[in-house]
Order: sequence, then C-alpha cells, then structure tokens
Amino acid sequence: MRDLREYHRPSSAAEAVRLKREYGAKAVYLGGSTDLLVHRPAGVEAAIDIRHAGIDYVRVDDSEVVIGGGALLRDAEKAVAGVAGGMLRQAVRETAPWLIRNAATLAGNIANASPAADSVPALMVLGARLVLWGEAEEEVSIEDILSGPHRTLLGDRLIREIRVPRTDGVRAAFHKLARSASDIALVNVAVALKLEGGVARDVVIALGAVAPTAIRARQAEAALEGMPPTEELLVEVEKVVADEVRPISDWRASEGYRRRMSGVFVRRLLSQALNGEQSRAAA
Amino acid sequence: MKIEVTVNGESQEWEVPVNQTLLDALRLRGLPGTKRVCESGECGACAVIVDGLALDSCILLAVQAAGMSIVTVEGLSTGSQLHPVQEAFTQNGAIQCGFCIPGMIVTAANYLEENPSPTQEEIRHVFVGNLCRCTGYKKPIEAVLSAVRDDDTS
Repeated sequence: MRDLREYHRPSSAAEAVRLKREYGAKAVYLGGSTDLLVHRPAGVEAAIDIRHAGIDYVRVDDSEVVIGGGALLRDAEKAVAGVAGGMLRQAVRETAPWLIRNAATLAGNIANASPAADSVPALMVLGARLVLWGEAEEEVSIEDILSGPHRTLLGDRLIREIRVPRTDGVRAAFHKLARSASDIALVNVAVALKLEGGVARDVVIALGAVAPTAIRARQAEAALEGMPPTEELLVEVEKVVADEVRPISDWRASEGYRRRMSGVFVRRLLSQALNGEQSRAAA
Repeated sequence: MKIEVTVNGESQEWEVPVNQTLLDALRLRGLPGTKRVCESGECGACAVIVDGLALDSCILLAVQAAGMSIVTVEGLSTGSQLHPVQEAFTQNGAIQCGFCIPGMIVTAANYLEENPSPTQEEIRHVFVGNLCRCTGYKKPIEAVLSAVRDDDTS
C-alpha cells in the first residue's frame, strides 16, 4: 500500500463507480479493507471507500434476501438466518472470526476472489445473483466474474448488491474443512437439491480451495440429477467429484488429500441434506 | 490527510498518511495498549472499537475511521474504575503475560454489549479471532463468564 495516496468516501454508489472509472486500475473499491491490507498490492494509488455509499442495506422478504455491496458480514449473517435451513448463515460465520465479520463485507469476500472463500460455494449453490454497476446495471452469477486466484472480470464494475433467492423445498448443506476455526479452508463444499417423487432435482454442488476459483461440480451434479439418491449412487457421485476437482498441493494440504476430501464431503453433505429438513421460502 | 476522530471520548484532529493503519495512528499518539503483533488480522491483539464494533485496527486505514468514535483498551476504564471485563480478568488470573490480553478485553467488552449473557461456547466462538501464544484461553474465557455472572448478581 506504499503507493496509496488518495482516499475517497463517495456518498452514493453512482459516485463510487464514477471515481473508479476515472482512476481505472490505479483505484480499488474499499469495503472493510480486511483483505486489501493483508495483500497490500503495489500500484494502488486511490481507495474508494464504499461503506458510506448508501449500499450497506440488507432486505429480507418472502422470495429473496438482498445484501447490499457495503453490508458487513455480521449484517449478512443475520439477514440470511432463515435461508436454506441456516446453511448460508453457517457459511458466512465460518468465513471469518467475529472481529473480521465486524469489518469485512460479503461483497468484498466475493470480489477478493480467494479460491477458498467460504461464502462463495454456499452462495453459488443457492443461485445467488450479483447486481453490478458500471457503465450500465447488469445481473450476473458469481461464476461469471471469477477468473482465477484473486482475479475477477469485474474491472471497474461495483458489486451493488447480492440477491439470494429463497426457494421452497430446497435441501442444502455446507462444510468447511480446516485445521482450526480461524484457518483458511483446505476444502469447502456446499450442496443444494430438491427431492421430488423420490428423485433428486435441481442438484447443485460447489466447492472451494480445489481449483483456481470456486467451482461447480457439474459432472457430479449430472450423475445425480433425476435419479433416486441411493447410498450406492452417492458413493458413485463421491468418485465423480474426486475426479472432477482440480486441486493443487500446498502447505495446507496435498492434492490427493483435497481430492479425497472433496468426494467424501460431497457424499456426506448430500446425505445430510437429503435427511434434513427442506426449506420453506418464508420460513 | 486531515481527519477528525473521537478517541476515548475526546475529539481530536489527526494529520495522517493515507496508507497509515489505525493501529499505527493510535500507537504514535501515545496509546500503546493496542498491540502490534501479526499485522494481518489474524491475532486480534490490536482490537479496538470503531463506532460500536470491535475490529482489528492493523487492517483498517486510519482514514477509514474519519468522523468515527474509537475506543481503545485505555478508554474502557473510568478513571481508576476498571471496566467489569478488566476487573474480571484481574480477579481470575487471566492477565497472564499481558500481550494478547488488551485485544481480548476489548473484544469481550464489545461482544457483551451485543450479547450480555453469552454461553461459554459463544465466548469461544468470538475469541476465534484472538490468539494467545501461551495458549492460555481457559482463564480469559472463565473471566468473561465471571464478568457475566457478576453483572447478573449486581
């Protein structure tokens, strides 16, 4: 951050975007700064603090939960308590310790694009949409903007809000595998599906820390979609997941361990979700 | 950059470099109770309360706190009257070597505002962001529980 010379505190999202478009790559949007001040990238000359830009709201209604781009993890945690049986609340809580949740934003956790970001697989399986503001307003999925480790396709666009749909009958589960409660995930997994007439429908499986970005396990999803979720089939799905992920070895865990755990936790979470309660949209 | 802040109840005007952390700005102004340890938001020794929320001051720019009210560990006591959490830490032998303790006390004091009667499990969850290199978590957790009990009986 030695190059940082300017601090801006725009009072609207439109003003924040105007500043970013003016400064381009020399400026960053600043939420809680909890990632930026750890990574301290060179070449950043201006910070655009979006915490005062009027987008720190959360809205909860029967059909969706909307989390403003400036809303803190602590506020998101409360807002999503009733979503998918509490699965998203669990993921947000496990994203960071309380001291960090008091400062960091949910949008920042997404935009930081850590492959291990815990909120991201959970948001992905629930079909969360991002409303971006740039030259125009657009709505995209999280997958659309993640391009690599700490890389996104956001450019000058601001995450104005995150919209999480509340769908009837969704069964979901999340697990973060880490050495300690404050550690970064070795693997994190989220699953969501419905059970209709004895067969699995709308199966979505997402994993973090096992590829350059958080990923959907689409082959595994396809293996389960429309099928009765028997124990034998879940064991098959476990194998498909282990083949499908693309982890690396680093000092946290080996490639082989991550591969194995990816499969194991997808199988366990699918069982847990199938045996657990289904969500009600306005629960 | 010139900013106005309220520090432990006192209005102040600061001239700070834009890239200076709140931690550095506080320590340079004679408030060493806020400790500099990991400088990456891992350990919680630099916890201060900014506009009512405890956070790690090592990963917040001082300018982000412009116009806000900051409470450091020095500001928890009233004169010689310790904050109930400070009192509980001294009574329970939880001061230990003292280095991570200011951050734990600030964290606990702020958390009790939000949840005045937490369970042991809830205190442990909040202390996930406060590391003690001596691994002495038992007495601080007991101290917070005793602060809660003392508050109930008073």
